[in-house]
Amino acid sequence: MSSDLKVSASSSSRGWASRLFGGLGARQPAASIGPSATRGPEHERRPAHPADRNGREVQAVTRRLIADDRYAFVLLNEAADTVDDQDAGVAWEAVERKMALVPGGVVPVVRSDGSIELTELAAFYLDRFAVTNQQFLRFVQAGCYDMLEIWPREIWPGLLRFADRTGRPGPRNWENGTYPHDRATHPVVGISWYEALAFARWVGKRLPTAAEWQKAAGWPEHLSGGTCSRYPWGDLYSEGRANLWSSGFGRTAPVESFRDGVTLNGIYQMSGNVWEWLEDHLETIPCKAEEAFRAWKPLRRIIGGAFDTYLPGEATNQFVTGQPELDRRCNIGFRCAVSADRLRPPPRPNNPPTRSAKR
Amino acid sequence: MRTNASVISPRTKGLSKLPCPLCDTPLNFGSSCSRCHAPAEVIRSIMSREPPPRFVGVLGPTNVGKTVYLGMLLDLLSRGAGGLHGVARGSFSLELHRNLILSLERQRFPGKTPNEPDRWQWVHCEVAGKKGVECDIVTPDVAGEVVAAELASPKSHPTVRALIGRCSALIVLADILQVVSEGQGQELFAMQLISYLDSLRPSKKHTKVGVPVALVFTKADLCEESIADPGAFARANAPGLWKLCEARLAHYRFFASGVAGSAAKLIDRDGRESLVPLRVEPRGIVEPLAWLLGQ
Repeated sequence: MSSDLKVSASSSSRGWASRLFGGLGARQPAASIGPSATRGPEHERRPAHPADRNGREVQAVTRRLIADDRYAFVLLNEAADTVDDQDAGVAWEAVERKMALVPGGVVPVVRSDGSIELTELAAFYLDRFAVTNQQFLRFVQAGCYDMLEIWPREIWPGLLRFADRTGRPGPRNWENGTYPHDRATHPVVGISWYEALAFARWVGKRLPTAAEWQKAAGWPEHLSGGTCSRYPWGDLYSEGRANLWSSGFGRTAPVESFRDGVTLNGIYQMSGNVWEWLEDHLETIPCKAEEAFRAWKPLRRIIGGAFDTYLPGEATNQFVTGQPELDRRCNIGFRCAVSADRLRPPPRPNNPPTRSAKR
Repeated sequence: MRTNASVISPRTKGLSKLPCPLCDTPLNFGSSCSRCHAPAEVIRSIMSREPPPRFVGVLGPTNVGKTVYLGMLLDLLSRGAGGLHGVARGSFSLELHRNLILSLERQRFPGKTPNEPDRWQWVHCEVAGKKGVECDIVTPDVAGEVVAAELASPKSHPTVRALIGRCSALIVLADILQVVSEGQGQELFAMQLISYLDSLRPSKKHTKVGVPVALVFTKADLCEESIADPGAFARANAPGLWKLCEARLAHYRFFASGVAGSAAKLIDRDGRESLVPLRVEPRGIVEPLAWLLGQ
C-alpha cells in the first residue's frame, strides 16, 4: 500500500453553473432554466430585464429548478447572495430526500492497475438513486442536446449521433423522444459517458469519481477493518440484494427496488441493476509488469455491475472495468454527485428558514 | 440421469475389443483410441450411458472462441439457463470449465487450444430441458487449424472426420469482427464445413442435409451495434454462407453470442497482442443448443 496520501481533486467545472443564477441576480445573461426553454444556443441567452431582478422572479426560477431536480443550483455558494434562506431551505429538503451525504476522510482506494492508494476525499453528496428515464426526459425536452455549453467541445461534431431509434435526440433505446411507457422509474440506459456528463452539468452536479464510489459504497471503512466493504451491505455477496444475472430478473428494475442492498446512509443499487459511468478514464487494468494495456477507443470507468453481470465479484465497489466513452449500452446508466463545499451551509435545525434580508 | 449398469461391466472395465464410440476403431484395454485420440476416461464416460449420448460438435476456425464458448456453455448449464440444466461428467469436462472461469475471473481468456488431438480437452455433459427432454452432449475442444486441415485435405485428421460424421447436431462458430472487417475468411470456413458435412452423407436421396446446424457469430459484444436479427446480419454480411445454408441445410439458424461485456488488448514485451475481457456478460450461448435440441 502506498504511504503517500493523495488529495483528490474535484472534477467539476466551476463557473458554468453559477452563471445561471448570476444572470438573475447581477449583470450576466441567464441560461435556459427548464423544459420550456427554447432550443438552440442562439436562444439560450436573453438580455436581462430589470424586472428579472426582483424577488418573485428569483423565487419562480428557484421553484422551477427544484421541480426539475436542479436544486443544486439553488444551493451553490455563488448563488447565496441571490437565493434567500427560505428557498434554500426548500432546496435543502430536496437534497436530503434525493442525495446522501458521504463524509470526507482518508480512503484506501483501489486504482485501475490494482494498486491501493490512500486518498483524502472531501465530503460530497451522492444521488440516492440512479438517474431515471423520467428525469432524463426533462433534459431531452429542455433541448439540452442542442445546448452546446453543457457539452465538452470535442463532442460537438458528434452530438447528432446521440439519437434514439427514431432519429430524435435521446437515449438509444427510446422512440419518438421518449422512453418505453413502463420504464419511467427505471434507470436511463443507452446513453454515452458524454450524455451522462452533460446531464450532470445541467442539474448543477458532476459524475462521481471511482474513489468517491468506493467511499460511498464501502462506508464506513472501520466496519471492514479500515478498507471499504466489497458490497454496499458488507463483504459477502448475497443474492437478492442486487439485480445481477444470478437474481434471474434479466432486465433493469425500478431505481427504488432491491431495498435490502441499500447502503447505511440510504443509497440504492450501488451494486447491480445497471453499470454506472464514472468520471475516471480507464487507462489500464491489473496486469503483469511486462504487459501493456491497449484499448481501441478511449475508455471511461464504469462500476457496480448490472442485471446481466455474471460474476458477482464484478459487482463489487473495487472492480476495475470500463467502456468506450461513446458507447450507448443497454446496461449502463449513471448517477450524479456534488462536492459539499460547493453548497451553502444547510439551515440550522433550531433556526427555521426565514426570508433573508440579503436582498 | 440414467446409467446402464449392464454396460459398466464388463464394457467399461475392460474396453477391450469394443469399438470407439466416436470412430469405431477397436479399443485396447484401458487406453485412449489409437485413431481419434479420444481419452480412455472420455470413452468410459460415454460407454456408461444409456441411451448412447448425442454428439454435438462445436467447430470453427482458429481464435474464433471455441474454448470460451464451450466453457461458458458448461457453466451456464450447470447453473441452469434458457430452460436447460446440465451436469458435467468427469474431471475432463470440469477441467475445461474450471480453466475458463478462473481465467475470466482474472480478466483473461484461456490460452490457445493445442493442435495435437491427444492434448484436446473434451466435454461430456448431461442436459435436461424443461419438458424433461434429456440427452448427453459430447464434443472435443478441437483446434481450429486441425479442422481447417481436414476440410482442405479430407481424411487427414480422423478425429475431426469421426466427430463430424457422428454428430447429430453441429454448432459452427464465426468471429463477427472478422466477418465485418476482415474479408471472407470466416464465411468461407463455415461454407467449407457445410460442404464437408454434405459430402459425408451416405445417401444423396434427400436434397438437403438433415443434421441441424446452428451458425453462431461469436464476440458479438465487440460489435458497436447489437445484432438484433442474426439471420438478417448473415444475409447482409455473409451472403454466400446464407445462400449455401438455404440450398444445402434442412434445419439451420443463425445466432449471435458474446461472453465479455467489453474487451481490450494486452501487448507483451515481444509485441504479441492478446484480447482481454473487461467483464463477463454472457449472451446467446445456450440458445443455439436449446434450438438444436428442439429439432
